[in-house]
Amino acid sequence: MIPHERSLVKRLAGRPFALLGINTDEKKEEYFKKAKEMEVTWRSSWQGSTKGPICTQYRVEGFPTLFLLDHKGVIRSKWPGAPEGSELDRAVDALVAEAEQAGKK
Amino acid sequence: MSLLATSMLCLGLHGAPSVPAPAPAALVQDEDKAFLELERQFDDVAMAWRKELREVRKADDSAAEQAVLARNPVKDFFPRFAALAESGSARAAFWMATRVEDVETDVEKIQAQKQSLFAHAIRGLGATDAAAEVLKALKKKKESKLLGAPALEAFLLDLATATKDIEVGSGARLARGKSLLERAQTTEEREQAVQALEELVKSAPESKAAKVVEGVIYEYRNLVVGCVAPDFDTQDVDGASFKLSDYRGKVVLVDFWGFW
Repeated sequence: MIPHERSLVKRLAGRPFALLGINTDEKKEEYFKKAKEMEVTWRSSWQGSTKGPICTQYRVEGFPTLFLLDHKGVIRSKWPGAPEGSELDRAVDALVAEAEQAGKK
Repeated sequence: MSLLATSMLCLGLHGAPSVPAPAPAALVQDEDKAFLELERQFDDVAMAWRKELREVRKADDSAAEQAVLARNPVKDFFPRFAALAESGSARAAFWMATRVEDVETDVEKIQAQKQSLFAHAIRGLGATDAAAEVLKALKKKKESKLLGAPALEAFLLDLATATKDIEVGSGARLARGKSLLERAQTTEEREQAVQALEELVKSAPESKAAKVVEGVIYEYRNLVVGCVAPDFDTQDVDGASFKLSDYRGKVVLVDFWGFW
């Protein structure tokens, strides 16, 4: 998942797209170390637990879980469990194109 | 003889206004006894059979396993429970309702038989203590698939209407609302499902189901495709604050994850 996300972020640099990580590892030091090693370059919030406040707010019980929001903040897809890379790309690309269209108007 | 009367008499409940004249007590007792005796016989045979099945599975002998599976005792006992059900035993009908798939392979026949058996079981047991058992059976994933969601929802409502137990009634309404919500295709259908759930909370606010419903409704109003994602205010790993709403205008992928 992480390598694919890294390439997604790279590929869409400069376009209306952001990846936000909600990390649920318990040990902060270990998370920081690994995030550096694995080049987790995108913005992340460390929750300290799989029952952290944002996990609860979003009723997330399985990990990973992904929510894809359009440029208006509307949930457009939801994956409980990692999606196929190609499926994720298609969904993201379609919404990024939509956001760019809306930006032009 | 009335099935409802049968089961109510078994529990010593009298006087419900809609119940037809009760059957002679001796007859009812005989029927109850006949069911319990047959069930006991089945349980003995089934226990021995399951033991045999475990052993052939342990030995990893697939030919022997097939042979044992072909002798599933439900097949032998089914006609005997059917005879009891025909003579009016709702308990026997309930026993059969959860096992049709062991004796029948055709999906449509399974569905038709199950529907008629559950209808019988709920008519007879809905107002008794056994209603909790019926609800437990209906809540199993396989029943929604085998009965079909619309039939399941109708049975859950029948059960909720018949039972006097608040937890069973609200539990049945919750299961029904969840099923409606799951298969809703249009906004209107979704709204109807949510309304059914909201009514549950109003009618039985102290029930366990009502507490679950609040979560289900929250999720439906905030977290399904089509909702504006709830905003959050948090800090990144460098300690800088950020909000989800800061990202309006951009497509956002929110990933809940961990290295663990």
